[in-house]
Amino acid sequence: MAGVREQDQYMPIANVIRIMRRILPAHAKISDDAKETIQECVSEYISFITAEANERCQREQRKTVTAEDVLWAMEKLGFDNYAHPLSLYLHRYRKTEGEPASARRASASASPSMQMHPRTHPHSHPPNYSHHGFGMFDFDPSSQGFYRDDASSSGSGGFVASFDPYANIKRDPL
Amino acid sequence: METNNQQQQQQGAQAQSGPYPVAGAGGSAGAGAGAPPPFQHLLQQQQQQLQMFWSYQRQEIEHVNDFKNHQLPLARIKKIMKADEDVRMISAEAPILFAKACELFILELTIRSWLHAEENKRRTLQKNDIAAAITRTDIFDFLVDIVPRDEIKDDAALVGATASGVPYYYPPIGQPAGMMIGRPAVDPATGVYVQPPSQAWQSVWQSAAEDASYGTGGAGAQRSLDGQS
Repeated sequence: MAGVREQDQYMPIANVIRIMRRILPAHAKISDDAKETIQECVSEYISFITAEANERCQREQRKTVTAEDVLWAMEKLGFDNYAHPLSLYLHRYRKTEGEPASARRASASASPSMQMHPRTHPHSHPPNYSHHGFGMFDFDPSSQGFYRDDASSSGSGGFVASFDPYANIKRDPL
Repeated sequence: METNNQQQQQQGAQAQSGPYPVAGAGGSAGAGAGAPPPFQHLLQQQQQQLQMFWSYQRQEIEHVNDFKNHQLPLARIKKIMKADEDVRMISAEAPILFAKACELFILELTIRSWLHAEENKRRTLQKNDIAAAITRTDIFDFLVDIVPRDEIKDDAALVGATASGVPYYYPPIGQPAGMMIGRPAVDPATGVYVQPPSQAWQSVWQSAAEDASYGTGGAGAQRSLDGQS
């Protein structure tokens, strides 16, 4: 029982190794203690972000930790590189899931939306703008279009210039 | 541990005689006024590789179609989130978002760790490589308790210039000569990604693309990184 419970603290090691191998060259080997260390780091990462997200949740007197809270916590803790693609990921997930996502959004009606990106193009919207306007998750479609165009043209400098990447960083002096 | 340390020290000695010699070791010890040129070059290479990594991740996410086959089990993520007694309820989307976030986290930590193994001419990723990646990256500060102190010292021992002064491989952020390692961002001045000089990385990205096709049901697999400007 203790062993089972202890294992539940970590991600399955096979899944972790599979992800690691995606980024490593074919000839690379991974020592056993490295595998276990990554396992521990992942759990610590989840706990670290969750604690920050939950603090915001409680501050606003809400009981449910939402995906927006998680994204907010990542930006606050310096994980800007994560928050931006994940915001896009969440948006695409909701669009793909369709109706069930709408139902999920309805249940989270008490959660105020969070502006993930500044509105750099307030007057230009993608052709399918109306499809995004379900209300709860106020993801700026122009940001998405801008973001996508940016990625495809590799001119990411423009995107970076539109926001201060360190504005929300919580600095802990070493 | 004893054998492991000896092996690492030997490999460290080899590394120092390799393409990254320690220039002006005595003079720059503890000063941190200016990083030796070889390390700056190394840093630039690593920054480029990490920028390519994030650019690739953004492109991959733009083409993801399969949101049901996660690389990490959602129930386990939820259990870890609930381990915090203050956490009451979790929306269904939060573990889904975390599944992707943890993928990115594992990938970034692995690539940063591998860069350290490569510096020491090793082909086996070890715990002290992860320790080095954690100490070099300030957004990973929350992980310092996971790696023992001696693992970090092993890292310091490999670099003669800093061995006598500080335990970290690079000057800590805040010093005049320090570089922001923790948040690789695109340089607004250039805004253009360039191919890294090492050919090994091209094979890495190609294999990553192939793996991505498996993970995403074939979506976006055909996009080639070589096509980037």
